[in-house]
Amino acid sequence: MVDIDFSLLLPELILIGGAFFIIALDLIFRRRVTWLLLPVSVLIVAFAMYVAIDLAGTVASTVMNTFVVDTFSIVMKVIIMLATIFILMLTDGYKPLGNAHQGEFVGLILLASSAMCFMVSAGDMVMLYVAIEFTSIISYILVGYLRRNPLSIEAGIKYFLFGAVSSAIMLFGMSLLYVLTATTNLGGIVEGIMHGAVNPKIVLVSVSLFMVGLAFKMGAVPMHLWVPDVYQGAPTPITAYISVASKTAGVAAFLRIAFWFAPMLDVASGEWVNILSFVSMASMVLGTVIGILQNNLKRLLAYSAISHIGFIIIGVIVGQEVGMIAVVYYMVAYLFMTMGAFAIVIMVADATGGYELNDYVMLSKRKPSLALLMTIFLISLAGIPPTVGFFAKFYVFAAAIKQGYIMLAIVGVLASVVGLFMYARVLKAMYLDKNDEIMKKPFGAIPPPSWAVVGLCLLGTLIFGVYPKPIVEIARYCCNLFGG
Amino acid sequence: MIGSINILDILKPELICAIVRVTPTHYLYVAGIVFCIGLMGVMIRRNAIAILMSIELMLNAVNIVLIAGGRAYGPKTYDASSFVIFIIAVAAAEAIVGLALILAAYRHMKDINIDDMSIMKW
Repeated sequence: MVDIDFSLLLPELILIGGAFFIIALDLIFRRRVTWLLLPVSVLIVAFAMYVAIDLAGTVASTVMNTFVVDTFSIVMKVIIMLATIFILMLTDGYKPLGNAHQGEFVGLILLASSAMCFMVSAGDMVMLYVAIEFTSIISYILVGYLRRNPLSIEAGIKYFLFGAVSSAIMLFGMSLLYVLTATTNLGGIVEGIMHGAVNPKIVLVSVSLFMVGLAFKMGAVPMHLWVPDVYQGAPTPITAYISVASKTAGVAAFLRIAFWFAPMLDVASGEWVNILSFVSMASMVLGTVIGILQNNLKRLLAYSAISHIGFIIIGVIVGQEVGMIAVVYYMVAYLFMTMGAFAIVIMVADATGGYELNDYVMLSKRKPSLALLMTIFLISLAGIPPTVGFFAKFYVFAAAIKQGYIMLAIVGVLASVVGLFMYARVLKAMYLDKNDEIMKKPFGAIPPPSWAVVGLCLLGTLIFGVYPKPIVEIARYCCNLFGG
Repeated sequence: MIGSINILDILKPELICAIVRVTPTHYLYVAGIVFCIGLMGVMIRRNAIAILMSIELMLNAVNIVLIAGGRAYGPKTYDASSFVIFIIAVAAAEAIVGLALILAAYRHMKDINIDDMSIMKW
């Protein structure tokens, strides 16, 4: 008989229960209460977030050590749930979705967020695999949700094929690790490898195959091909959701495994750092360089996301306390600035009907407030003070230099300089380009919940941009109470 | 019949095991080959359903590795067997979603050749 401590699983269980409650509500009242679904689901997620924060400070594991609760996992879960709340508020004004199947849409978002919380807390290969697949399968459905739109279907199929293949490769790595150590528990694997006489090359190959699945979830370079297409084709709130929540979950699982496996990989071989450094540098360079060529805002933000993952992996490579603080800070910054930028992309698309750079021409004249807000989020993404993005990059580079990874820091700084050009193209379109035709087009109304999301993201971007201490303290707390 | 020896005796399991000793490593070879066949299929086939079948092949290779490993380590844990059951269940769910997406694509383009799914590039 397995002992299950349900108090540790409570946030996830609330989200799953809430998802079915929403779907049932929609079905029982025969789609007459669609106005009620979003407020109720926001309340459910907020309640789950409150329960999760209540667990802060405990370091425990349950269900045969497959589910680990520590402060790091709770901070990551809070980021994921905040992203979920923002997405639900943005869905309110998203026109292409219409009123059809709103209950299922919201229910699936709640299920996906619970799956991501499981992923963050996974301490066992079985749990990790099931959580990753749970997240992926729901994401495939959500990406292909607009089934009358060929772009959405194409994005769904591309996401599905990449996801299925990379999870099969990840499983092969997992099965090799099982054969080497006779356990599926991540902690047990490290012990098995450290105490057994195992060929370091085999360990390196198995762990690399294992990491393919997580690299897919994060969108790091060898597995990045799905990112721009899925970002462009998916319904825009789902694009933002994949961009923020799904990547946060991937980074959290990746960081946990990299930190736990570090002793075993140090013993096995120093090659591991080289592999990760290549992934990190390739992500930063490719993301920024190809991003410059993009004319679609969603694709531009996709390449920007690839380059950000490169910066985050630097923090994972550095490891120890400084690396972990850098990664946690980066994830918080990433939540605010990416969500804000996507919120404005949704607003502009709802008002003008397009995602191309041309639709942003003269935005400073047509809607000065939106242009100013977009500018703030873009300079934050580029890493210019006084925004949160500056400190995120600063902590990553400081950590890399402190631990002697000079090469990574140099490539990172160069990539952020090139990245500046990518974001400056949007600023140029909004402020400098002239087009008299576009001034005559009407600019539609913007729903209040979207303004609320942008306001919260703006507060986060600016406040933590001048006063980063609270987040750093939380990150240090995460590091001291890291399970395993 | 040759003398007193029955030619069909060579099909008896005891005799086969005496000639070829099947160790867990042999299962790993088989699994590696099946996995590579699946990966090749994913890369060279252009029909979405055929790609789905190749992915199933890759997952089955993983199942062979896990079952062989679990059997070699004896009955003290059920880790491998439970992992395999999870994989089978999740693969079924994944195949359903995949087929639904492929069906939706077929309605749009009357074809499931993935080379034609290239509205978005770069």
